[in-house]
Amino acid sequence: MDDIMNETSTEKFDSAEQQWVAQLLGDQPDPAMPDAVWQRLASALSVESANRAADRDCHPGVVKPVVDKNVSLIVEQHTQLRS
Amino acid sequence: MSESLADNRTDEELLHAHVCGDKTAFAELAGRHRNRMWAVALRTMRNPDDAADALQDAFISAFRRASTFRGGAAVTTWLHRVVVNACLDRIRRMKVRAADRLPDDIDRSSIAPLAQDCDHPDFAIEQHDVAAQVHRALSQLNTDQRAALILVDMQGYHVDEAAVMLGCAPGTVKSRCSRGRVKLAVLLHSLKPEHLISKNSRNQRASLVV
Repeated sequence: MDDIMNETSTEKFDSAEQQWVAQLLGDQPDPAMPDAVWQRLASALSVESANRAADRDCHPGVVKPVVDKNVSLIVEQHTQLRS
Repeated sequence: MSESLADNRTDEELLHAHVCGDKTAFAELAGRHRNRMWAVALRTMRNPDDAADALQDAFISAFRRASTFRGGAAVTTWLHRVVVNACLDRIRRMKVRAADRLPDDIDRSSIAPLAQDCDHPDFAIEQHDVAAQVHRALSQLNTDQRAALILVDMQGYHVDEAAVMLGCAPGTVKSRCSRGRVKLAVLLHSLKPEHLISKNSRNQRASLVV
């Protein structure tokens, strides 16, 4: 329904207007990724990479190394409680 | 592999190296295309926080699924597809409506063009203003039209490539682009050159429902 309603408007616009909008959009330079976003992304990829390396190094019967510090802390606290 | 060699590798070589266990290859690839992918995510998601989340989803997904890349298209095309899909998935999850207003607290610096290669402050401000207006107008389109215009008009992809990325027919992409441009022509009326301003378009500005 939305498409049908818009069709009438589309026909009224000439191709020059379409080209102008396309040109205007194409002229917009890409915004730079903020450093904070990149740092966060790089950090996430680093964790992924470490996890993948751990998976690759892990053999059957061997406990998988824990990468997440929070998990390490929980394990440590749990061990202390048990002891 | 050393960093100096990594800089010279092609995207395909980096992706292959990553699949083979290279610990730095994917980060190199991500860094190489980060601004382009950020532009797609920011324009699709409409605000920096959501764009950052979607982009992280996308890159983590690409990291894990790199072995599924078959080389039928360029790595950048594949990355675009992953980013666009991550954005659309997140939008669906958030149930964001197309007519939502642009958030008032948007960080305008993240919309600013990458390069301000002009020494004239007035020109730079004008360019920044145009970028903000375009961003605001794009944000008022529905998600499908916005995604199509970002890929075809802003990123320069052929309609057929955009159709593969968006998972729809080329004709659908053309249609979405055409309708999106019509709406943008109205929303960006103040930027329109004199020779394109007609009585007809003035009348339509008031009647067009976005």
